[in-house]
Amino acid sequence: MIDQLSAEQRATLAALWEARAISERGVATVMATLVTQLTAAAADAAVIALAIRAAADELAHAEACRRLASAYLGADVPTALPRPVELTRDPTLDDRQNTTLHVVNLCCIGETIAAAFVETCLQHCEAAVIRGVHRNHLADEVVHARIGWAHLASTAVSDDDRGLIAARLPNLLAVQLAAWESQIAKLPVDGIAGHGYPPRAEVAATVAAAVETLVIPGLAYVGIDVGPASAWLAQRAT
Amino acid sequence: MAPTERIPRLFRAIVVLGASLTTNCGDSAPPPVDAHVVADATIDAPAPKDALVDADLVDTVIIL
Repeated sequence: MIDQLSAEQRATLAALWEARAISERGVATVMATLVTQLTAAAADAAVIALAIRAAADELAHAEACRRLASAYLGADVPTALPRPVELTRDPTLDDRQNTTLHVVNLCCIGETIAAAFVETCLQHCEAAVIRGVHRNHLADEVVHARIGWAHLASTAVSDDDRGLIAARLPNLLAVQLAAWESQIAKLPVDGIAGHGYPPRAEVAATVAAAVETLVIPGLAYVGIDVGPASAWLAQRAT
Repeated sequence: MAPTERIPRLFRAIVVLGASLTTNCGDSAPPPVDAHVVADATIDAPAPKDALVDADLVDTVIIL
């Protein structure tokens, strides 16, 4: 199937998968940091266990992406070092509160959107090997997203924490959506049929739908007041 | 599978089952644990290796 691609398409796909490999390594670093933070915050053991698994999963994703990049390029793509990643810390909050916001940002929002994104990509895969990469990736993204929902449903998160999350949600969504939009802008406008890259507009619609139908209802499901976030989204849409 | 079918399945797989991992559902029973459950029925997944599956959920999810 790769042989049927033009040289330009192969180069594009190789670059996209190499970039994803680098990104996955960065996320592995973030997840490892989150394990430390969750442990210090006395999070539920089930949540910490999922985060530990996630850190390892992300490294495996990175390798799968690197191999796929190599297949498209027709040459071995070396393992790249991730860009340095540091979780932003609000000095007005204590460590436990910062950890809770990190979990909401990374897992309830970021990984939940990522699961919807990968699921959409999966609908655009034809070759078994590419479907396999996306299928495994989707299964892992679902588990990584659960870190956030499990944490917010746990007794480690107080009513005051829920109020804090509600107040900060518009900012968190703004940062996440800006990051997704930046990444979407780098994708081929028309996608690459059969290779897991939908048209850019479909990816953008998937991200918007994920926020509207997964993230916001999910936060309401675990007892967060989504009024401020919903108002921000409505204002953003006008 | 249409998006209108996929989204509820994803919501259940991610949010509902995620929250259930740390919620006792009003009694002292341990929460259901299903570490390898995914929603998309279009996925032709291999058999689970070590999943502990809540039998009540099997009709709505596919296990990876």
